[in-house]
Amino acid sequence: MKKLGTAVAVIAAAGVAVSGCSSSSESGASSSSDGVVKAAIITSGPVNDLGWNQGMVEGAEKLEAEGLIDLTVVQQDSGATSEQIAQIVTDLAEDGHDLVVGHSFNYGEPIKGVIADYPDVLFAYAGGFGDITANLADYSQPFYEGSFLSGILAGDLTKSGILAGTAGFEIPVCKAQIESFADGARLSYKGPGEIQLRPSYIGGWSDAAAQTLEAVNALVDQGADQFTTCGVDAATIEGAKQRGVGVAGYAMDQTPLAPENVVSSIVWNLDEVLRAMVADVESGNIDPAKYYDVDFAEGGVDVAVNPAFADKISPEAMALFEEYREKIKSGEFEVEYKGGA
Amino acid sequence: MSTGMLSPPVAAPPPDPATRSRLRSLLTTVGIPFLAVAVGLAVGAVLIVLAGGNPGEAYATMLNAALGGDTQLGRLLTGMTPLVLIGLGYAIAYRTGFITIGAQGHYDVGAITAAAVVLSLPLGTSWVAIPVVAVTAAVAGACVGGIAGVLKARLGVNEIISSLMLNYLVFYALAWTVRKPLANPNGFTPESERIPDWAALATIPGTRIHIGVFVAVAAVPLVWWLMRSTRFGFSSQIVGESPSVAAANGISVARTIVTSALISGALGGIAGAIMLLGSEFRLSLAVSSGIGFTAIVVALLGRRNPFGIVLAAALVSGLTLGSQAVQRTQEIPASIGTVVQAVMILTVLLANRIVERAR
Amino acid sequence: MNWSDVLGAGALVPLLTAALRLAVPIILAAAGACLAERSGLMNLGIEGQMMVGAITAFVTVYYTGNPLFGAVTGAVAGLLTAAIVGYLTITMAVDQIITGISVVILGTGLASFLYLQVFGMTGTPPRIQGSTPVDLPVLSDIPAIGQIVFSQSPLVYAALLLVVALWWVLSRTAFGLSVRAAGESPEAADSVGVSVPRTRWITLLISGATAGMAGALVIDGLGFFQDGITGGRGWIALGVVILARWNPLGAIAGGFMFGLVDAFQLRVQAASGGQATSVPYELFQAMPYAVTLVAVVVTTVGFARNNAPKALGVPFVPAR
Repeated sequence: MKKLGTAVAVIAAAGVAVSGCSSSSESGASSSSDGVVKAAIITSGPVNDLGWNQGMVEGAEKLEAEGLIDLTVVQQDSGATSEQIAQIVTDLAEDGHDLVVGHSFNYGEPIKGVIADYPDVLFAYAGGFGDITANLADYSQPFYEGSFLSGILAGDLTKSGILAGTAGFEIPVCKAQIESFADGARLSYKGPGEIQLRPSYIGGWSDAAAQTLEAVNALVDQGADQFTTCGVDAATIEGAKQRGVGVAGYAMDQTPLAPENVVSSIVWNLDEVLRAMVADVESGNIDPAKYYDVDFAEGGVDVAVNPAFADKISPEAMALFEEYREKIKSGEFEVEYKGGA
Repeated sequence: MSTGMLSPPVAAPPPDPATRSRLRSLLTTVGIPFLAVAVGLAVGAVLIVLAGGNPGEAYATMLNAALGGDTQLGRLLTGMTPLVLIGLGYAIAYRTGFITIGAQGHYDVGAITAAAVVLSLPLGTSWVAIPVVAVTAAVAGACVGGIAGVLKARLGVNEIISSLMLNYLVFYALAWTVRKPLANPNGFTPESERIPDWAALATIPGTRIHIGVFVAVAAVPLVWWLMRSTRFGFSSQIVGESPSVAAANGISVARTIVTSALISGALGGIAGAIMLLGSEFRLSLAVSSGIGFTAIVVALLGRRNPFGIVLAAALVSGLTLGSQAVQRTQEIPASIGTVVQAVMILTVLLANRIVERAR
Repeated sequence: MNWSDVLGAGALVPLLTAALRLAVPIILAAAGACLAERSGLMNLGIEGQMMVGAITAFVTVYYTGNPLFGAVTGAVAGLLTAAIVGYLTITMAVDQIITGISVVILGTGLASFLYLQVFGMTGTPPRIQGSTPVDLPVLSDIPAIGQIVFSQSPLVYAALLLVVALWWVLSRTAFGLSVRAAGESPEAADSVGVSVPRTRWITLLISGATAGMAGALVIDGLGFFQDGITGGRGWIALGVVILARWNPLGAIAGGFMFGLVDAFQLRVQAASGGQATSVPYELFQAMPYAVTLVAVVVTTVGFARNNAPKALGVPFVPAR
């Protein structure tokens, strides 16, 4: 008898629903009208992280302010299952979006399962290695170019010669970023011995904050005093702040997070990437989709130096920094990409 | 306590006791769940207002997300499947007084086993794969559940702690599995290869609902029969109510507890395998999704009764889908759904107790 | 990998310091839970009370800049959440286990909701300044031990003192006696005039307060808040209660063991760079939980079966 009660309650609710609802799948594949592209972004962490996610959202908001897009932001965290992402992507496509961007390496798989059903929509995800198929685009994250420059500054500031890099997983983008950090440092390091690099792959992104913090502690205990971070920046910067070591910011100018510890930041100008995508949506060039590789030379990535460190960095290192910045921008120098296996 | 100095005003003669108790019974069995849902939704409405949303719109969106169309109903049923299976497992365990929270571990190990089997054995066809996976996943889940069961039955170890620790151990086994033995050589984040097409569960033609749903559907009457008509069903109830009485009547308390642990483990393992072959298709860390806790809510709201569990699973799955939808469209935090679920259970507990005391 | 990076002479002191720092929230929550369980009440809602305490403390410290205020408000929040458990399990004699689990779900959801409410979804990510470590005069100069124990933050000292106070209350005061009586045989206690419900209410509120304060300690160490930030420590604390044989002082040892294993595995992971090593690092990650499980089994079989309060988990309905 007891179950009857629950049954009545649920059926009553269902009755209300069925009678009161209208079919939702009829919103139709309305494509962009009057030139405004309906764009949606799915994040993989908090929108106010002053890093990976906020960078994307702010880049998109810039385009919205210019009247180019109509923006929807869906916030997810890094623990979302493939099924959840697939559902969200499906719903967004059903709602009539023309551009759906899954802002995480892990979203590629679920998105691929959906793209065939919506051939008029351009999908994109943050693969970073040219993984394009049909109407699914990929976009690069050339952090390694910026990280090289951050490394020049770190090489000058380090006293122990031990550098550390934290990342969620050993994905090509992060591996390349950490390696080029050390490469840049080797140019400016004048201390005893060689630059040593300690990479640490935490095993989670923003959901592994506590482990990241402890990893930073452990690395500092082992002598590291300059850090670069890929995707686990919040906790790494906090750890650097607590232990008083230097850290290079990631994806946005992260100086505000730790004004005395963030030496420089890789700045990712996502509005440029999105601009290219929106242009292709408007002209109908969505299949075959492109690999949007807007690199340092094209203004996709840059490095911002924390003014508070201006007097701490030696003039030679600063000159070296400026020199290589110009060379990378002009294409004269190519930072070696070490993201491969 | 009345002192009897003032006699109460004369009232109309009360209905006869039999009718009164039937009325009361109806009132509680229908009223309490209604009350729980109502209170839960009311609290949810307050939170929605605090979050700057409109409760009417939010709830309409939620209902739509759960019931508003074929796609939605399909998702509801798919979401209910693991909740029903795991919830049934909990119901069986709790019946003997074995309060485990180990379903997450059973689920994860079931997924690991399913992936390991279809990725390493060239079974070639669904007809062979499904039974093999079902058996191995059930066994794997039963083993994990059984550890906690034996620890409790033979050594008196608190099953809440042991099952929780086992959850973590299985999770790290999963983490290692996706990084090493089953790792995708072409992938970069820890995950397995995609399961071969022949291993994926077929879907009901014209929908995206995988046939795992039928397993859950079949499990309900099976479990009901188990609890009502088998010796195990009787013993488990007695053991749960009073182990000493059970022992005095020749029932092996230890064996009953362990059996219930094994069955609940097996059900959890099957649920994990279904998820892997039916919706995820790839083993990864995200697979360990916290469904073990959600299923406790389902088991408790469903009063540990198989049919109640189905309805509770519908409610909880609907709430989850709905929360995701309002988060997407109205930027209302999905955590409201969790709070609503918890408030519902607490209301049920309280209301039950008040009714019991009034008797 | 280089083991001396983890266990070498220079690395040992940082390891033990980190161990204590990681352990204190668990120790504190476990000590409070010892008290509640001694009176017969199983407070399974600790994880939820910790989460609520953590968010309350975070908001407080964010707006006042004072970690001590954070600890106090965190404790109050934990206490109020425990009151829900109390009302249901003591006043209404509802099953303690189901109530506890439900309160965990409630507390976790509320904490997540509150965070988004207060800090919204835009703007710079909120951060707080954790309390700075204080070197105790003279004591912190003792080699090794001085750095490990006497150079921690004031909140850590407060927590440890609180634990000792709880032990003292339990074993040396008349109230402690009634607590133990209520847990061993509530009927007998009732018959000699001890109010079992009142005793349990007090120990439960204390347990909630310690859990909330433990949550405050967690975010004090991390400087930020996010969902699930307590990471299951509330549940671990319940395991530590068994390890400690329901003695708050034992909770120090038990909790420290967990913190040590946790600090150890984090350092192994960092030293190996998280990459290919002969021993999979997940083994080390699993270690704290495996060790806790083994320890609980050993303790239960060896001692605890006789030490558990006899009326633990049984709702007490006063005979009227």
